[in-house]
Amino acid sequence: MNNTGKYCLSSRVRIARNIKGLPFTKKMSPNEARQLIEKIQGVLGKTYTYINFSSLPENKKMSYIENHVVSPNLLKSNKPTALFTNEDKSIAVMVGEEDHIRIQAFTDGLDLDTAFKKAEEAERIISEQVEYMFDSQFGYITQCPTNIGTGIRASVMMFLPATLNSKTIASYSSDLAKAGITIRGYFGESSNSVGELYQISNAQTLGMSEEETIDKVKKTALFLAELEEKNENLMYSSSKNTLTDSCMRALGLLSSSYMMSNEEAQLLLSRVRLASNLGILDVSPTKINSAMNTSFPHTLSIHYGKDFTSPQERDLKRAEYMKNIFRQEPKERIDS
Amino acid sequence: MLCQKCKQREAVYYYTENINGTVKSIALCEECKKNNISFENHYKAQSFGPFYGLQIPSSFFFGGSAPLNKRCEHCGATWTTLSNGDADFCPECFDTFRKELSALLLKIHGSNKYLGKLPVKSISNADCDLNISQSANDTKDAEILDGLKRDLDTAIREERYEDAAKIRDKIKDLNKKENNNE
Repeated sequence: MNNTGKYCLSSRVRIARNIKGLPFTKKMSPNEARQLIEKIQGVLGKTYTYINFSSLPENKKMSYIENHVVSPNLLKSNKPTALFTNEDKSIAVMVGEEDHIRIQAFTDGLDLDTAFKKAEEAERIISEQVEYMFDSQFGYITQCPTNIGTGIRASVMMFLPATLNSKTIASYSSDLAKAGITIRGYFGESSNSVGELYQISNAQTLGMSEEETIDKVKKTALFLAELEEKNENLMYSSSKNTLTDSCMRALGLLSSSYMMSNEEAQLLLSRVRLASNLGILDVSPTKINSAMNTSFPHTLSIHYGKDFTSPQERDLKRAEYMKNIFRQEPKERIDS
Repeated sequence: MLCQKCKQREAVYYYTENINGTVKSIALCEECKKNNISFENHYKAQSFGPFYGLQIPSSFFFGGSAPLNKRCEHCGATWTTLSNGDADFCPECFDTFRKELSALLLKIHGSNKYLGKLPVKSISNADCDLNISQSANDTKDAEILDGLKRDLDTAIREERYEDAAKIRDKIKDLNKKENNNE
């Protein structure tokens, strides 16, 4: 399948590690937390950008979370935490999250192999100068038993509007669970998701090799992508006019609204994405991804370089932002 | 395309069902999709692996019991306090509660054995691996041997022949030790 980009927005591989000789993050003293950061800075400082996460302004912190560069857990800590990123931000190393070190590598579309290679490389560089907590039976030791072993979480963010909804999600969840895959909403919750986007990832980290883990998630993503393609085309062939109308209205609102909430924007962008997949509209997934990310409140605020004085001001600006992107003439889908 | 169940209405969903391990795809209309109780029954009838995919917290799986006086020397946790969330695992707990943890991990992951890559340092610190725990039982030796064999493969693959020679010697030693004990 060579158009997985329509259904697979991004891939991520996360590796969790703890350092031998230190208590887990929860029980670390602020001093120990600082020492841990200094240690990692010593290893990564030359090639990675160091960000003193705990002392960032609220906006910036939240924006990182909105865009999935860091997890919400990093916010919760009342001890020093740090973030190291490479040049293009395709690798982010969190220090002081639930585990001492959380390495994350990202790619666009479905490319878990590259994400894995990148994450492994960062893990290897750190391993040359620190000793990880490791046990020959259990593997890499993590705070939570659900991450013990490889410490790897491989995930793909997928667009599945035709396959998943409030009625079908429960049965798909249970089927996928049997195959060792979890499915979560955009921000990790289990129910209806932002923009009909779902994150699939491996459920287990013990009992299989790293390669098998990556392979399993990759195969699942491909399977779901093919299924979604079938379902989207079925949806179109069974309700062409209603669907086209719904997509065109979404485009209309995005092109002409005066104010827009993030919730509405995400919903409309999801319609436009479906329209793009079906060839009803000529909008690239990249454009939609960018709009989706920037629509979130803190990221929008950073985009405009200002703190909004009210939610209303934010909604005004969001509408303006969308207008600049989506004002265009609609195309007709060519049916055979 | 017509619904493959009622063969009357237009199909709007392409649905997969898992019947005793065989995955089939079926096109359904809105009505039949709503009335798909049979699918739910199929899923419920089959035995489940770990429930992790349904986001039941891991504490759900704890169960089992440990000797009442078994307490982690480092943090004071007992299996009870770990199960009910009153205590978190500390690095020492993983060895103290090895047996109980093995059972827990089997429930969560369907396995309690690590099959991934080994840390590079474990090769030069192979001695450390061999002296992990005084309370190691016989199966520990077999696991250490497995681990060393994997190390050997990795070292050869990565062309670290000096490390590979060291590991090969360690394997020989372990095998000799086992042969002496028999």
